[in-house]
Amino acid sequence: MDKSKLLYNSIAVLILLIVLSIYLILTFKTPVADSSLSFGSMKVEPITLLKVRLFWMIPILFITVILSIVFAFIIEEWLSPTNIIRQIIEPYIVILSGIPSMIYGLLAVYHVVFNLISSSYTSLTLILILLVIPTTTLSTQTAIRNVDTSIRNAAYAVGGTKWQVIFDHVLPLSALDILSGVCYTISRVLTVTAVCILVLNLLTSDFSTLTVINIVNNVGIILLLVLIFSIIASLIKKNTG
Amino acid sequence: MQNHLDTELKSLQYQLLNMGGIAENMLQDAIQSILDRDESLAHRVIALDDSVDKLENEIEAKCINIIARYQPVAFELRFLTMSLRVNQNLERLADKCVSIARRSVELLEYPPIEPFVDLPSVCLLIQEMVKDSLDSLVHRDAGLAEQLRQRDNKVDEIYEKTVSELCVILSRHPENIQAGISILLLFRHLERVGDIAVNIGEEVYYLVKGEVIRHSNTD
Amino acid sequence: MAPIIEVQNLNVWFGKSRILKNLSFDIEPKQVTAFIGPSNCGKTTVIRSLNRLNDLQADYRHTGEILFNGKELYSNKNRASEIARKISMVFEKPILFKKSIYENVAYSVRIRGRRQMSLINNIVDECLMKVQLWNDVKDKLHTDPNFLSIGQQQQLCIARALAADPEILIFDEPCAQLDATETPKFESILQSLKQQVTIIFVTNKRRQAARVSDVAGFLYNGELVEIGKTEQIFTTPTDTRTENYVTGRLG
Ligand SMILES: Nc1ncnc2c1ncn2[C@@H]1O[C@H](COP(=O)(O)OP(=O)(O)O)[C@@H](O)[C@H]1O
Ligand SMILES: [Mg+2]
Repeated sequence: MDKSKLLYNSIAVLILLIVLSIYLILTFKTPVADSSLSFGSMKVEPITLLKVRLFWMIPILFITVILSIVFAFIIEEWLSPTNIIRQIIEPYIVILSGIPSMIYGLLAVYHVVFNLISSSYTSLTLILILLVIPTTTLSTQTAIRNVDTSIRNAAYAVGGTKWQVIFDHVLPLSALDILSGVCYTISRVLTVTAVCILVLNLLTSDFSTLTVINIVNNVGIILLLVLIFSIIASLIKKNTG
Repeated sequence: MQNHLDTELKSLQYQLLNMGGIAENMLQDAIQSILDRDESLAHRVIALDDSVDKLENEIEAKCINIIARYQPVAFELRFLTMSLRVNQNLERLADKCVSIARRSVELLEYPPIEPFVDLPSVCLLIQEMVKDSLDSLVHRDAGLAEQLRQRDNKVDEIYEKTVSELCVILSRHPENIQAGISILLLFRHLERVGDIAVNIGEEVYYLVKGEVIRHSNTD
Repeated sequence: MAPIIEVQNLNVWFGKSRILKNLSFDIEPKQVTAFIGPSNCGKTTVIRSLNRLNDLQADYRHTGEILFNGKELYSNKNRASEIARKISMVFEKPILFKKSIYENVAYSVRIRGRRQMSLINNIVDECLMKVQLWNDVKDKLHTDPNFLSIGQQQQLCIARALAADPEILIFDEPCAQLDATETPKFESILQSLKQQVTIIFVTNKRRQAARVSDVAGFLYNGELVEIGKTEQIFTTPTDTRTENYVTGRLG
């Protein structure tokens, strides 16, 4: 049991490293000569561009969160812990959700600034998905696992089907914990946004007092939201001691 | 709330009294067969022996089961030990009735000896004792149970008197010796029936009062 | 009467460890069958194999045949949920849903797809009466069951299991959490339910098994050492291990 877990974990680390190196090789090959802060043909300020992009990210965020929750339920309820697919998938979720949001933020900046993949929509969406799915899935999985097995047993013992048990018991009982995980994910997304805005602002900044205040204004609001969301997350989380 | 052990004990008592009733009837019939010289009645009593033996086994198994399953204490425990002993005594009572019936069949071979004791009244005395011993069980009446010992003393007296009178009669009519022995045995059986009634009474006394009076003096 | 459950050579594994070894026994309808034995001897595993709750365990595996009403219990034709309803179960701890007393019992009816209010009301009332809880809760049906004592909560669990309309009712050490004063009530409920359903009952209190069961089986280290009429097991056991267990020298 532990042996195979170790195996799958190492495979995951290996694959992620390979993907990372391929990515780095590909991006280094991209010529960076004429893409210095010109933003393609649009010639808009990167910060405005980012804001527009971020606005469009909201529905995508919503959809991704829902998908992650469904994904977590599928893993927890339909794949047994010894299931091969689950054993292969789980290490990625754990590793990716453990990466600090700062890294994702820098990745996003890198993409927006250098416009790596044809549209920054695609790249931002990819980053968002990479950011949201592992954390939401992991926290939802934990929330589901924290539902007392005895409640499940009791529901099965009077003839409940899997769906009935999930919808009547598991979902209601884990709802708050799932929501808490979602809030935590949102605060992570916002942190990434804050990092993006901060860096982009600094890149275009002439460091006058006015722009510094502007930066603080821009970032401060987002950081406040981060704070609010993480407080909510910890408040609604049930004490699972 | 109905305690399951209570139901079991009730049904045990019912079975015990049922067996007591059968034994009582056997006694009645055995005595009647002597008084009326009725052979068929005597045979009927003898035939009942097996069924009483079966009942005894049943009740004993039931007692053991109840003890094994409920581990009774206090009154319940006394009731069960009493039931075991009463059960045994009732079976012995039935045996005595069979013996009496056998004597009754034997005596038919001889001409009736002229009456020298009031057999019917002695029998009545004994029957009353048996009846009262069972009644004391039904009503949990320690007084009635204890009283049986005094009544048994009277039966013993009569028995002794009868034996000596029989000796006198037989020495005068030695040709009746065989009938005489049968009669002697008959009285011996009747006297034993009295003792059995006393034993049952003592068990009931133990049940009600929790004291063993089996080996204490009558007075 | 034909046995309601027939088990032939049942072996159970969790992962690599063999928990049950070659169990064969029949369960007669409308009787109380008790499984006794020290803890960890496999009692819970046996009964969970009977109502397919073990299916939920990832590394569960069994060989051998289990027939329920003459038909293979683990055949694909049977939905596990339907089996679990027909062979309903009450657990060691009283497990209640976070719903009112009424809804806890009604749940078993609702999940069968019965939505008619009058029907649900009738079943709830009837089941609460059968478990002798009706008088205690009839005025508080729509309140949270938390104010009930542990014993009453367990009664409620029995009512909920009954509302599923089972053919067999399984109890897994139902009195382990109850205090001594609540146990006699439970036993009298058990006796009264016997007329209606077949009862399988697991306990590590041998005296309780002696009191309430008709048939008793002694499990030891995953083996069914002996099964027979309760009287026989407690008066003349044939195996010395059984003898030692019922006399309290083992376990
Ligand atoms: N899901 C499981 N996985 C692995 N081993 C288990 C599992 N469930 C029970 N066991 C093992 O099976 C044995 C019997 O357990 P159980 O049936 O619960 O015993 P009992 O109910 O008699 O106390 C124990 O040794 C326990 O460790
Ligand atoms: Mg157990």
